[in-house]
Amino acid sequence: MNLPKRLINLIGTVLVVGLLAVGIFMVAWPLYTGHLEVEAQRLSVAQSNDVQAARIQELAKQQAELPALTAELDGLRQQIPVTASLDQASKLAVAAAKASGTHLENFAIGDTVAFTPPAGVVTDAAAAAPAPAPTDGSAAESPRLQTSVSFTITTDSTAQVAEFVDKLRTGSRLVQIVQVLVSAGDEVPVVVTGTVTALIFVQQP
Amino acid sequence: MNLNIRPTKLPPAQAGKVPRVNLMPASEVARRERRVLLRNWMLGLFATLAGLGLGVGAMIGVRMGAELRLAEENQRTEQLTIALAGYADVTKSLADRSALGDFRGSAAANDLPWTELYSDISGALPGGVTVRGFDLHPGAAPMADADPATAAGLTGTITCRSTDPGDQRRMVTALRKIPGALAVDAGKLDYLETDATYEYVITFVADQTRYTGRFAPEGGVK
Repeated sequence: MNLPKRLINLIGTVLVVGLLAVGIFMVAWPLYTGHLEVEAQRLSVAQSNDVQAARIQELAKQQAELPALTAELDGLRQQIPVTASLDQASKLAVAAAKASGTHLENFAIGDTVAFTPPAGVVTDAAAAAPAPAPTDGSAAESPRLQTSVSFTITTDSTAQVAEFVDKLRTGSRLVQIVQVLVSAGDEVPVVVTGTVTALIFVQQP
Repeated sequence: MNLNIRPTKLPPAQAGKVPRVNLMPASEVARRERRVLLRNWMLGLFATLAGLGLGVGAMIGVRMGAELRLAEENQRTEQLTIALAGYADVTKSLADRSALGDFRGSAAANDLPWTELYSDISGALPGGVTVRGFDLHPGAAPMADADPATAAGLTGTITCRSTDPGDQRRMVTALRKIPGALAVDAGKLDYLETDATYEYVITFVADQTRYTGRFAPEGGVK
């Protein structure tokens, strides 16, 4: 062992520095960055957990009001049923005619198409063709459907037609009035004929 | 004044101690120095190793702590998912309610109070005028960025009869004053010889302020 001192110093320095470098850069540093990653992951999980927990808390509150919610939903389902349920529309027309003191002459069912929000049909030509957007193909895809229905009533005053329309509107089934056409005949006593074109709605599951 | 010239800084005599003479051969001195150096380097190496071991150990601890906390958080996720599944009926009811509510709001966006409108119109009739018929269409759904007072909410015609043809103009004037009237004008006028009366048409447009908005979603129009 006759290494010169400088060589010993050199080997010692190289060994210590090498060891430190290997230890720090190849073991400790990856561990540290790994820890940072895990921590970041934990934070994001914790965040989504907190959101979830808040949601559950909200739901717990809603569950306490579940009967009210169910009742509200039942009301909505009655207004917009899952199936066409045209019997309800017929029932509605009969009830409206009775309540307004008019005579129901006719109840007709038109096409069922995909729902489009009311766009204001103005001309008679446009009224004849149902709203422009829906095509026959899309009706099957959209869960929201609208069915055109029309009611014809006879009565002795035009005011009663308005009343009939109001009874239709406020009935158990949701109705969108599209057109109200009223004309009085020339006979005496006068016979007023009212035709109400409307839409009823279906929300498929 | 001290005139003593004997130097005072001389070290005192050191009796009984080893004389300060290095009798070690130079090679032995170098060997010992190398040994000390080597031992110091070995010590340094071990200290480095020990330090590294401590550091790495601490890092492993930190890392494992993080893993543990992550595992805990993941467990909480599972618990929350289970808890959420328990509320499936509420979740579904809420989703259905908002879907149906939206649908209803948009389907009945142009809902109008017909009786009220009719009584407004008939209240504006001059004496002797009778409404013979009307043809009215509700308008489009309100737009978020449009003023409801300038958009057509109800469009159509009203047909009336009276013995005085001047009633048409009077009626137009009266109808223009009813709340929500947007555009009212006179249409054609005919004399019916059989009844000796005049039949005339009035075009009528009411604005969207007449919409009831009873099913409008909370927070206004979308």
